[in-house]
Amino acid sequence: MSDTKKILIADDSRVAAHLLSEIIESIDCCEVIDNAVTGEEAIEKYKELAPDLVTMDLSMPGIGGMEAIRQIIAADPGAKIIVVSSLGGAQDKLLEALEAGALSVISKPFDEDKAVGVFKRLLGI
Amino acid sequence: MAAGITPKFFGQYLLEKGILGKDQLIEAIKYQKSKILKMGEIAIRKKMMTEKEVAKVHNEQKRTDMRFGDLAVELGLITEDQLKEILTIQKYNHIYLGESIVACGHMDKENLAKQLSLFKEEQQQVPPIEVMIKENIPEKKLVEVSVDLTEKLMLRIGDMQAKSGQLLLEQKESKNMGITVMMDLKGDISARYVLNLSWDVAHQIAKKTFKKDDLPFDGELIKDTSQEFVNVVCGNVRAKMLEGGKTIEIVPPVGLTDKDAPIVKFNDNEQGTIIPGYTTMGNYEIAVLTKV
Repeated sequence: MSDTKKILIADDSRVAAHLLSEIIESIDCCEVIDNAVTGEEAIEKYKELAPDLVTMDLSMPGIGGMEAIRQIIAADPGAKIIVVSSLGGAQDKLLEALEAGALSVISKPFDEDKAVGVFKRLLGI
Repeated sequence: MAAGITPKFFGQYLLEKGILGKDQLIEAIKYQKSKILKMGEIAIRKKMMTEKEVAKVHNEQKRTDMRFGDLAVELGLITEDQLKEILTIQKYNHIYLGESIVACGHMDKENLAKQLSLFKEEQQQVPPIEVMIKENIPEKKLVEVSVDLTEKLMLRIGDMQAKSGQLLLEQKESKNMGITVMMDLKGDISARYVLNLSWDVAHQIAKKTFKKDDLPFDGELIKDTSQEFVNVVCGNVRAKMLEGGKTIEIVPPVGLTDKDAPIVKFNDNEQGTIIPGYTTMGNYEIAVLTKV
């Protein structure tokens, strides 16, 4: 039996979190373990749950997703973070997130095939 | 495969497809940026400004968030026409991201040509902004982009053809049709996007978002879905405005139902342009509020 990959969703929209869960759980060995709704909570839950991957919304209450990426990477440079962005093709935000330590991006509204491809590639499955 | 609503940049396409890694993309973007001629360098080369004047603008920039060119004009160091000339020179003296990727050794020219062709094919499906407003209104471009992208996302997410009606200018309040979601836009433009949805339209968006035509009526869930819809609209508005050189920051949306607020009053210092919208499921209104 293959290892189950644990995913933490950081998104303040329960709708976006639900849609992402459906995409993630359509992949055989992936499981959503929790949902953080602020940047601060994402950092706490990352430390507590040690997920294999985090999906990070940039526009969240509190310190926001960008700062949460920085702090998670500072604590664990090997953390795998995917930015989930409603920011269309905005190059500036994507570059900032990649420089902060994110590995890739998924755009809203979600394209399921592309999103599954990104998850599988980063998780090596 | 479904096309986006706003154009994606080539780097994001390569990253999502796994053709380029993030470190390679960052290196290529930095190399590309390093090749852009600075406005001050161009002004000096064209003898429009002295080195001392360029340094003065840079110094002033520490105290303001104005761009180099706008500040140089405001300080009377160059004219508007000279600024336009500098911007034109800058525009035609850059390298494309693809060239930068090849220069950094992350792709050969043959593969670049192939990827560019596939990328262009995908981008051709991205529709242009089609809404044109005749009236002279504040932040006209923002209003056009907001209306256009709302209509397109009503179709893409909600599977509803949406059509806009006649503008209502200088409004101070709006009757809540079911759910009103507001999102502040800050930065180069200070404005507020407001989407007022009838319950039927909001319910349809929720049904299609969850891919459940028999989704029961749940006011809270419908409100959350409407907020997420506005999040996507404004994110795409931001990306579109950035193409035109305007940087906007967005903050999480706030939703009010007709029970919370039967009438949504705008702030005293805000002026609203309201654009009514019609779908086969019901009506909606977009308001773009700007400071007066």
